[in-house]
Amino acid sequence: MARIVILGAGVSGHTAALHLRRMLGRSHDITVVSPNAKWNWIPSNIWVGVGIMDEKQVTFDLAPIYKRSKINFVQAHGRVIRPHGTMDDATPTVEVESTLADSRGEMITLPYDYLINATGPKLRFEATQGLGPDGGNSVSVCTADHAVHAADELAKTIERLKAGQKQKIVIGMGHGMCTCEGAAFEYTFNVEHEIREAGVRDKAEIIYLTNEAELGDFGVDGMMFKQSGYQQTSRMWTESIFTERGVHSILGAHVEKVDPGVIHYETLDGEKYEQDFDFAMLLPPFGGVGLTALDRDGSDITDTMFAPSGFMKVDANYTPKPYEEWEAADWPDTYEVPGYPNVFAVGIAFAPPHAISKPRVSPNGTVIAPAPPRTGMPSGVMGKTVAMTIRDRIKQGASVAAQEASMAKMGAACVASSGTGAFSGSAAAMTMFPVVPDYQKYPKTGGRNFKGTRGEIGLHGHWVKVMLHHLFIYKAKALPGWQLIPE
Amino acid sequence: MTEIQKKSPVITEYPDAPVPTKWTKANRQNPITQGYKFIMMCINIMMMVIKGHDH
Repeated sequence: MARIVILGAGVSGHTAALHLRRMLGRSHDITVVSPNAKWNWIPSNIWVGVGIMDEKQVTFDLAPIYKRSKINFVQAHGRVIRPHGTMDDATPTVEVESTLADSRGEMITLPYDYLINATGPKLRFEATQGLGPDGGNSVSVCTADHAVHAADELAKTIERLKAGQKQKIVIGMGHGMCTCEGAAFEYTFNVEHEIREAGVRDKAEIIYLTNEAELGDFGVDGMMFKQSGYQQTSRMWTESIFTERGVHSILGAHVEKVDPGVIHYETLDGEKYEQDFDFAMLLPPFGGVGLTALDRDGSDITDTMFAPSGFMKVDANYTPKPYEEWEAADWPDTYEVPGYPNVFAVGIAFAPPHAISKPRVSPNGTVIAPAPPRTGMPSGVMGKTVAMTIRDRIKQGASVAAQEASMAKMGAACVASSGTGAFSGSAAAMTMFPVVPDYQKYPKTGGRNFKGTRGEIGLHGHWVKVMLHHLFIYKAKALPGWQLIPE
Repeated sequence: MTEIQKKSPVITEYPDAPVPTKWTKANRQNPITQGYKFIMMCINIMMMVIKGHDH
């Protein structure tokens, strides 16, 4: 019997757990550790954040799903990994801290044969003074709770607009090192739609504040599309959408502080500015969740398993080199932690080898560079791939080669959809193939395959987004036939 | 360290941006055209899944 512990029940961890249970017999023990009792389809938090969906439509309780699937569920934070066990017992373990109301803070030790780190990010609101909804001066849509709060604040803003007051709405990135620009873009698209639908668009100035050096970068170095026989860039595509919808922008910005009604920020030229606002949704930078690794004697070996950012090192090429020398092949294939063939890190939890967008530094030494996205479709694929590797090693032996799924070979879709009606919604939809550009393979098309890289605007993208919302929630609930729905 | 500037450098116009025509805007909401594009986008996503990342 093998014991598999999965830290995290987001897209990648939950996907890995369900596939492992499907692929392995009941004699093997699968345990999922998550500090949250609920699963959240995060892409739809955007709709919760503008009040067109409620929290219940994007979350569900994990415990009944795991009970039905014969997966153990421990509601806790992962804290300490002991990959070599202790002096008394060489069995690898992970120590977790309960988040249940009646046992909060209690430490539990879970032995494992295979460990998957799928913890997702720590939302580092503390990186920017005054950022975030908990004691800060901005809202967020990173969690369902945050999105509900954002929707309430947006509703108040719309009420003020209806009362004839002009309002400044700032949406974007709360730090120079943020990722998920696509989510901020989508929220901008939705907020603009809601304000227009409320008939008060003329009274609102909407500003997209971003760490991207140019619009359309999205943390993936932008994209090139072929449209109507011409090559178009994601910069022109985004600028076109912003022109059509009257959205203004601030580019290359690192937010230093958010005071009530005022954002203090620095731009790539080193100048410092203030931007007043009435409503601000600013995303935080991500970091690792702060797992510690200890050797048998209790000595700290965290830096051998984790990068300084707190993300776990995997089979990527982390050799420091100039941006121009980075290659698609530097990205990990197997998500196996070097030296630990029974430990894997997937989704946001793995340390990317380098930025995809060109890193830039202001004359003051401030790094202003979008971090690479590792969410959504790629996360699910990584979870399934690692599950298959573990299945192979349990069934065929520990030396079996790992399955591969590099982000430089897989595609992703990002759909910014607004509205709820079947015929009144709209969307700006992007697909990219691959996620990490391969400039050697596709030198003339921005490192991507034109056949899979597209930017479209229209009702059909809205239908795709609605379809994906229902399909992925159905799949996550492990309802009949869930495994037929691809990641 | 540079001085704090009060006026935020907000970009309000995008001179290179292509602007959609009335026909393009109408087409984006046309159920027949959009139905075709929906099928094409689903095929595109499935192509990525099959070619790139499914097992």
